[in-house]
Amino acid sequence: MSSSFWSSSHCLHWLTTRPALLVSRQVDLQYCTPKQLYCLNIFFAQLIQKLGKRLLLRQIPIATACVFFKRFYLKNSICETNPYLVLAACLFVAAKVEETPVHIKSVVSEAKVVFNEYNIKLFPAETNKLGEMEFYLLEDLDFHLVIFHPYRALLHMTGREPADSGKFPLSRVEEDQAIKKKELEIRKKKDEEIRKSSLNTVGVGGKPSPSPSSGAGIGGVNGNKDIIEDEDNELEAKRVRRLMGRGSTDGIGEVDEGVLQISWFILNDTYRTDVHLLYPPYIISLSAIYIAFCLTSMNSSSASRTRTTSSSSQLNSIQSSTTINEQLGIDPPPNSAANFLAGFQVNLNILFACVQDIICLYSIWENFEPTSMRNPHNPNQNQNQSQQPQNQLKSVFGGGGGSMTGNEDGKDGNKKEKFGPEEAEALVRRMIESRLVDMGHPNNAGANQTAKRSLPVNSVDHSIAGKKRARK
Amino acid sequence: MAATLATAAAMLDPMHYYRAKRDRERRTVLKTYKILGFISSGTYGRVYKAVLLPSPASASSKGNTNKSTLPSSARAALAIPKDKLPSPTTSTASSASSALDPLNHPELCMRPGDLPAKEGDVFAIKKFKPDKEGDVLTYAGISQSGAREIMLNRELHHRNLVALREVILEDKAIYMVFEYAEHDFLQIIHHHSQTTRTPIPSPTLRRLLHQLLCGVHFLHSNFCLHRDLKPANILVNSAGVVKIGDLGLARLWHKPLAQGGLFGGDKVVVTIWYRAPELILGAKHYTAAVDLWAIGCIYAELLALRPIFKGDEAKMDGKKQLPFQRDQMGKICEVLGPVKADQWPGIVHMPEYKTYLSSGPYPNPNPLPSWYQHRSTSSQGYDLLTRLFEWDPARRLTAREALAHPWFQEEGGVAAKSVFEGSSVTYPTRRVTHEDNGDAKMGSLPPSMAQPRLPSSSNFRPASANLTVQPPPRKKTRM
Repeated sequence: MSSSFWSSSHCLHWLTTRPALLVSRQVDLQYCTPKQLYCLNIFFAQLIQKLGKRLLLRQIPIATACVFFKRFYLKNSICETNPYLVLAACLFVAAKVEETPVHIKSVVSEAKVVFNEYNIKLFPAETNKLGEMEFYLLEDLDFHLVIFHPYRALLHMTGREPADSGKFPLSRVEEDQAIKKKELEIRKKKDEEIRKSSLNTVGVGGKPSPSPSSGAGIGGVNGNKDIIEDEDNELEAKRVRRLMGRGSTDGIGEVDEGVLQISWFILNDTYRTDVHLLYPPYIISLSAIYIAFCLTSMNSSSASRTRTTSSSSQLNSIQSSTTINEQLGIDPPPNSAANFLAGFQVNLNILFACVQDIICLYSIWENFEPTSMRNPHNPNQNQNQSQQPQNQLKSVFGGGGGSMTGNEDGKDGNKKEKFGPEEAEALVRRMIESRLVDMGHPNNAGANQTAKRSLPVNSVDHSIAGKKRARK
Repeated sequence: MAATLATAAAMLDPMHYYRAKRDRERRTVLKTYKILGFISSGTYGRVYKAVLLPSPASASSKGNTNKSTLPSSARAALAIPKDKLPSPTTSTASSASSALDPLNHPELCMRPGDLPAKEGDVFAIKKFKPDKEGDVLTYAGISQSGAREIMLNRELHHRNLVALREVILEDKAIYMVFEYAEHDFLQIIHHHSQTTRTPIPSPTLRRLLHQLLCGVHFLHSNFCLHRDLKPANILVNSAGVVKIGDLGLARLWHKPLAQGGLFGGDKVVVTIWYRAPELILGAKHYTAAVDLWAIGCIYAELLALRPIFKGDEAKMDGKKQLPFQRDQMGKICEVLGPVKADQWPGIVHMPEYKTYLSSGPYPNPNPLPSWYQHRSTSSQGYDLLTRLFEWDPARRLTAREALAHPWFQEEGGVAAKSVFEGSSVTYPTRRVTHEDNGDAKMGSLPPSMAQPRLPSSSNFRPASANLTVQPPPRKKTRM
């Protein structure tokens, strides 16, 4: 169904497990290391993003294309296909599915431009090849084209559902703000009246000397404070009751625009990882909110770290996650945020597995394609903003820290041999070549060659050979 | 140098192996189904009636049982010594190999989400024409409507929606295998207007409309607009269950980031006779209410046995500007009377409002009651009709509200599962032509069929709006 995730094809047929994911990559892993494969996935996601931007697609179709691409490689191997053709076809189909179709010819011509930048020669710039690939792609996707993205879940969780999708003219946050504004106005008016009346009484008293009048004024307000507080409570209750008709309001106020923005950017980055094959969208968006909270709490220093005890067991377990956080090298979320997160009844193990998967990306990504290298390529004015959380995350997870697993060997690897987009392109070519050679082997390759190929020494030799070949 | 590079590229085409693998796994349409005949054709392609063939494996195993082999359990029970059974090793070997081939076991070829079926089940197979354009007929990928129909029919399942069994791709054509429905609204209307010359029995009519609304309510609650509701698209199977078909113009509207809103993709939606006034007046943003207007039109057509607003479609002029559908708007006003300001305050903001004002005048302020009195006496039925024909889309009934309308509780209500229950009318089965002229591969249209029927025919009906905009290829000027 397209409104309920639970009965959707996404939920029923396309959420897989880590072991299944590994099995699906066995063939590719004969020709590269797991880390190289991870980098290749970043590389391809980057290409999808670039090509999508050139086709003037927005983030949702691009995200859909990324998910299509990942689903396709659940059933296939990079080394047995042409990933560049596949990714162009993914964008072509995703654009149609998300109702912003692009012409097949523009896909081919823009793809040529983008792939030229990366010196990719493998892409067949023919429309009929792309059209044919579209067919195979649809088949391998089992014709399941509706994707549930975490963006929508993010907006719903934070009370910012788009107005046109529901029956309500305003999102919950907007409604909340409107009500608060109205209340404030009413209160101001009342304050004004009280002040006026108190001023009047003072005025009756005699001279308009500033100090006693103001003192009387304050006294008057203080005298009325109890009443105002009562009214406040009542108004608050009314507001909550109103919003309850539209679902929970807990902690919506905690997620301010800054946190929302960072969560959104983190979601953009998740399309470079496998989380969309492993976790339902609401877990992914909750993870993004969690990381965003951690980042903001880092900025607002340790003041927010002081906690009050709470009876809620969910909250307690969120707080006990502090230790997990310390292992991950990030600060715990601020207290109010913990309350907000505790409102969601989700399995914490799954949530933290997802958080882990997302933050793993940044260190590897930084090594693969340093931010400093990426920025000059994107002169977009928005890019600065969108790079912000990335930079921040990378500086946290990638540069410093050191407690991150895989970080050290990442650094070493960086010194020893650089693995960037150029190397990725060469690796793809090499993988495809080797696979073709192996399949031509009388013993029909595959199984027999596995052991040899997976040796790291061999792969280094191979990479040198590949480079030489490339230069020729 | 260049030559060696070219050959290297050809050798390097990794898709060769991939394609071969996938092609080998693919079951062809004709191996799975037997085509019984041709049903209809449209701009999208053609529809065929087909029956599911027995799977090759089960056929061969049947042959085996006829010969001799008993199930092993039976063998054990009868205590027959193994060597006396005529089961030569060669035959088991061959059957083993055929058993291994998934192509002989269609159930093994089924994708996740495909619907199960048994031998002899009847289906309607819709073959999409490849989306071609220009004189040179360059292939431009799967059409937008094809993609939509696949996407939505794979995702949405409801009693009152046509179920999609599977999709098969073959020779650059898409075959969508739908459940077969014997009747449709248009055929039922025709049967009453041409053959029996009696109105549709009101219990049947009520249940037809109720089930239609159930299906539309389901679509709307899934954020899906149908946008092409008309009698020909609403099917009824032999068990008397309404099935809404043809989601080729349907779309989801919850996608928050779609460019240009709903208007962005399709400039024209809904077949002209069923098009809501806000669409005719050029509204850029429209709601699920357009489907409810079409349901009102269908309701009226079920009552009157002919379209209520039978306007002529103004064709696009050379300037590629969408013309104002003056005739259609006029036909609506002739029946409903002119729009009054208090009935639809928002009309003044409609892009074509000024054009509308220049049309008319419509002397009769509200001819609908007299139109209705000729057809039915139920005052509740009239109330439902007027609420579906509410000018203001915001005030028009929603599908949910319509389902709760008291009219559906009259005359025993709509509890009966079959719309035909209690009716003495038997409707003819769907006409299936046997044009086997070289169509074993379900190829191109024979010339006689390819021509659209001329408007002079009394049976002429306008085609679905088919102006899904394929963006032109962008020029390479951008850097």
